[in-house]
Amino acid sequence: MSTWVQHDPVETDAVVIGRSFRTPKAFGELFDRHWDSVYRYCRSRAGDAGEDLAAETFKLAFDRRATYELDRADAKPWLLGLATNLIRNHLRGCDRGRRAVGRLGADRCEDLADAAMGRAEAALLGPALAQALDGIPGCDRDALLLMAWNDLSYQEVAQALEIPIGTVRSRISRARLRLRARLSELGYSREGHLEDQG
Amino acid sequence: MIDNNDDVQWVKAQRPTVEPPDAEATGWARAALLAHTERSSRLTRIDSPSERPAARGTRRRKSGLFRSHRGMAAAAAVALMAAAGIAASVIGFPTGGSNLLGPAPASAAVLTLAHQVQTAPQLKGDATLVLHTNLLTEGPGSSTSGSFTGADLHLDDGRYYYAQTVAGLPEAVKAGPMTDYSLKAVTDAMSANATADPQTARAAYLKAVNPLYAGDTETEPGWQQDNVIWVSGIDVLGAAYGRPDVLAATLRVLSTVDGVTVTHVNFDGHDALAISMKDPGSKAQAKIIAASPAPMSSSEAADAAKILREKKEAMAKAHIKVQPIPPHLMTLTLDDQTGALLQYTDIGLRVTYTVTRVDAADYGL
Repeated sequence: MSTWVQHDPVETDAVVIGRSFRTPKAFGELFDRHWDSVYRYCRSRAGDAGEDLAAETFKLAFDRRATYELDRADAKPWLLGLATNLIRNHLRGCDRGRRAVGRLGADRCEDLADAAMGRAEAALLGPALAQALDGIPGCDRDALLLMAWNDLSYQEVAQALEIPIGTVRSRISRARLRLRARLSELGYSREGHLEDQG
Repeated sequence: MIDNNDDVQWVKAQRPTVEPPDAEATGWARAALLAHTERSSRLTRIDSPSERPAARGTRRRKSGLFRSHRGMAAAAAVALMAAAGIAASVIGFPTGGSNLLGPAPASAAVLTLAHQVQTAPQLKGDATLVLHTNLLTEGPGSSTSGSFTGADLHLDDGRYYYAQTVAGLPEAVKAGPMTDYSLKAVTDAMSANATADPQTARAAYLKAVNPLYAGDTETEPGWQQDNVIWVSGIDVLGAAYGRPDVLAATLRVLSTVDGVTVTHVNFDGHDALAISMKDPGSKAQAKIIAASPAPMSSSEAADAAKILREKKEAMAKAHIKVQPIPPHLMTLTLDDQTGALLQYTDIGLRVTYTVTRVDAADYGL
């Protein structure tokens, strides 16, 4: 017995979300559509804990569905944005030794505490990626990974992180500048291979 | 030298390999979401215009976390799994309350209240108005904050109307009684079992409540039946106020729930009983069976429990910590003279009630 109401394939995510206000179970359709993407993203960034974070993402999305802008047909960026926040909080919790994050300005990416990648995040990303992304502020990393790992456009990253598209451009641009410099510094070639250091 | 889009491609290529979610992970997450939506549907926030429920037909505050066998299991999973490693063996006291006499034998205290209610003079009126303020608090185990109000008008003949505020009730009355969440069958059953012993009343209750849960409440394991009684009982107690026989029988049913503890408290000037739902066993197997979207044997559940233990140990070794979630404790506070609902607390939720007898005619009925 299916626990979800069958969805009309022509319905957009926005319609499903709108319908869930009257029929909460309809939100399950959103789960069916995006669970795989959210799960993979969370697992990619948080390892085994990603499974729980992905599940939590949908519960959080349900709780916050009133904030969803119904003119956005595709909810995937929004869900990935919620997941990103949960992942960031989780990773912060994994590295309690780092200095506390204080009140920040408009762009939290200036926070130096986030620039120093935590041990847990580094372990999860793997040595190559951790080395390449270390020094890039956490919010810049989030924007870059959202784009690169989920094929999101700048506009969709902006929707995910709920920030202006101009901020996304500057974050990703800043992240890529540092990334390129770091890759070159580490001796990676255009093809992404380690160049002969000799 | 890295340039153009190579850096992005490189990052993409470095993405850790992740297998697609397996059926177990998907089933668990789906069941948890389902239970969450069911739970939240009775807690629908109404401070957002887009969420404003219609006067009629909205499944508001459907306490039925468990609408089907699977849904029941999932909701029980939430009740249990909302707190990893839950251990609700110690009674909690309602906000603003104080422990006066310490814990009392649960069934005796509830049965005493039932007797008291049944022998008290009949209250005037032909309907009960339940006003409730629901405060959602963000924190571990709860990701929502805000508050909303609700007004339930239960007529003694079983008709039920709902509005956000008492001022909205006349309009709700015009729209007609809500039919998708009627407690009439249950209150009728309780009325018919007014003098029955607690176990007989329990059986009648489970039979009557079955349609609301579209499930197998008569054949479910005892702890799941207990969960249904606990969850639906809150609404029934509200509807039954002022109907001595119905209220007494419902309290007798509540006295049969295993794992419930009762403490005498003072709540906002009222002598009250704080009735807490104890985690029914806190057994990993029960949790897993409850969360499983498919039937599962005890041995399969034991295997799954082992896997979860290993996963937890592996996460600990990798210094990955899951944020602790407080023990899951649900406490219902009733006036210990009249049985009136005073407060209900759950993770991230505090509902305060004002229950009065009214005349239906005052609401255009």
